[in-house]
Amino acid sequence: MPAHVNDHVSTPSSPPVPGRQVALIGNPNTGKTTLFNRLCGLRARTANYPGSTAEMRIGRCDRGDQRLEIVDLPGIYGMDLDLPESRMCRDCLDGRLEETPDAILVVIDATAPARGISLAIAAIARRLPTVVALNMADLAARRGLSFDEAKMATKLGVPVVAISGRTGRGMDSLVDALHTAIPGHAVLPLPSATNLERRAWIDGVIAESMGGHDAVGSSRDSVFDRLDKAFTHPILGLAVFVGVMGVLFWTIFSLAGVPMDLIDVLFEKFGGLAADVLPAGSVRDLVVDGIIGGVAGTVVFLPQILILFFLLALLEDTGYLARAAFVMDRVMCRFGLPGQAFVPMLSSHACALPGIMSARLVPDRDDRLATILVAPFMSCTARLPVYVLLIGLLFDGSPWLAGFAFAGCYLLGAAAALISAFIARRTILPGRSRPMVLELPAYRRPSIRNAVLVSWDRGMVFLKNAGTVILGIVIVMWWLSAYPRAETPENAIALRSEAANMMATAPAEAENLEAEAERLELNAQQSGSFAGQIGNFAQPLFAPLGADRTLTVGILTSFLAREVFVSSLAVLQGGGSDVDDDESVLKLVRDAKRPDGSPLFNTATAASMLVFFVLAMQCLPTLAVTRRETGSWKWPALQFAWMTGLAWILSALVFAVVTASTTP
Amino acid sequence: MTFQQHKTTPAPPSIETVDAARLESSASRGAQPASQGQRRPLTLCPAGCRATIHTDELDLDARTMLEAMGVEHGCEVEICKVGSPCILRIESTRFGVGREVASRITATVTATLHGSALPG
Repeated sequence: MPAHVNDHVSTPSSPPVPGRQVALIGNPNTGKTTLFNRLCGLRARTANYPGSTAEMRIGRCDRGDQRLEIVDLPGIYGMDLDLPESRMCRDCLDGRLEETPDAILVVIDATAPARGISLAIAAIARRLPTVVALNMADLAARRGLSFDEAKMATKLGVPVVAISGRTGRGMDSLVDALHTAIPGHAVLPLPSATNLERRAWIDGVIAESMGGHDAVGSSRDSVFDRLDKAFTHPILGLAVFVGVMGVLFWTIFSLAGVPMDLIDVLFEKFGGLAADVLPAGSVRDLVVDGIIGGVAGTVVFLPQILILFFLLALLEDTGYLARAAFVMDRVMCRFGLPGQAFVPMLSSHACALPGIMSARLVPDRDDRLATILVAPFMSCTARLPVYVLLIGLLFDGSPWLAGFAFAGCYLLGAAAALISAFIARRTILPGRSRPMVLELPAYRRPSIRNAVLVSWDRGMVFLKNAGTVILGIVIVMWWLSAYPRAETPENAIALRSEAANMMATAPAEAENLEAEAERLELNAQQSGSFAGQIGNFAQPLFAPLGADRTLTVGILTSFLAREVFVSSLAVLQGGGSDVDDDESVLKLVRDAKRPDGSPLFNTATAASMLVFFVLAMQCLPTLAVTRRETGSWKWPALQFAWMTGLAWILSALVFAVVTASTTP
Repeated sequence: MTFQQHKTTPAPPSIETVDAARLESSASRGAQPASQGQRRPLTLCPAGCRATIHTDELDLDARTMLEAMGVEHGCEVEICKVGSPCILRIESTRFGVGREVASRITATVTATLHGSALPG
């Protein structure tokens, strides 16, 4: 067999070198992330690859005075594949991204080592100090496999250490080997060797260094076969999937409620404290309303994100998610999306932020981009108050019709997402998806430690984003709606002084007058602010949707966050900012009048607004997260233009049709 | 770690090798004869059989990807499930193959479950 000609083999031993940078590579499902978490724990951070949008995790592993910096590269099946993750590994190992790493750690699944050895050959050929970790050695032993690490090390020319990332077995030996490793010297197949030649060489290594056999056909396999058949069955598999996802989201909603309320209260107290400490003026408004209020509106979703990623990591660890991807692939592939896209789209029903962040489950870049682009179409919880208000206006007293309308909003969002994905995959993201071939990892007990570390990492990434890009956007939006300061209208001053006089004799009436004065003040502020001026300017744009100036300002302010629409309308109609009861808001808005005396909402306006709020992109934090996950402002800009454009067209159509059908 | 002599994975006892006599016998029972070496789409192979798979009808990208995953042209697999997806086992690793890819992979059955006749 053609091979490198090296006349000796050595298991290296050189003095310890502190501060080595180690690139961690391996096939998917070899326990690479578990090993990384075992070595680094919380001493890890997520960063972008230089010049790229892909993320890598960098961790520190300290043992005594020895330090390793470990870079966790994406799981790959081959170094030479024309796939982004393979390119990234090549670029990293060849020093095209940053400096060439000091050493390579190749993780191999001890229960099925052939593919891992093939990857190790490609790594060793880089002539960098290399160590091979035979992971899941405990599992291999339980399955009746045994191996001689020294013999395998002799054949590969690099140290081989049997470990278990899950239990921590062999970690000290592994770290020692990484500190002392030097480039391998062994007779390896040349890159030009044919597959058969390479495979024969690998089979030889396995035959010489491994013993026993994995008991194929055992009762374990029989159980796995039955589970696979059930989980991928067209009907039973779908039923199991619906059940699992139901439990997942029920858990998120049940568990996230309390910490979300706590965060709300905490920020409210914090804002109150800042308001007490700071003198009245622009700085106080900026800190209390702009910074604290803006950050609170985003950070409140942190519990949902933490719980979602914790549960997804557990599910992935059990081996179930790979099977579920096939169940949903039957449906999703008709729209150009892979089965894995279902989880992000379902997660977006809670909130688009975790939904978009979980799109990293989708392996193919174009599939992932398409998923991210359309995920915000799914009706999130922030839309619910608007649905309640507008459906209440449309179908007051008809709970059945209201129920159907509610379901229709969800269906409209889902249909828009799937059709948009179909269009995107045939226009801006053309090309075939990656072939649907997945390794089905063995079923196993999930690691809680691993899930905690994964969700912690995602939470930190989200907080970093909330504290930078989202905070900046929120401050700009707050400034646009708060400045220039409008003078208090004279009629509001008059109402206030009248209210003060009546406070002792008729407190209820005095309160009403105060509320009316507040409405006038807010109206003046909204009209006079930059956002209001933009609203005036933009009103003709929203006129085909049936919106007057008040509704236009409401729509524009809701681009900060959809739920603002309801509170804005309530406040503008004199309810005051403390009106949060659905019935009170509904009554206020139903009775609201335009300057010409016509109702603010008629059937056509309410229907068109409902369609607009189902489809439009009105969430700045979502745009910021899309930018972060795609690495470019191009995609959030496209997402905004497509969703809002589609919303405008369909809303205008609905307004025209309903107006025509209701006008006598 | 104790070193033991490497043993090749034995075929489970429930699987019998397809031989000429059985093929003749199955033909005489009225089942359609299936000759050893006959290639058929993976989707038409019986579940539980062992087969040599052929990926030469796939496009280059898919073939390269499968090879890197360990599903190589000419390798022997156990077909655990047929349908969408097809589930294959190579040594102890399982792979799910979507219908579209599976329909372009052909296989030569080498042994069937309990020695049952191959479908036509």
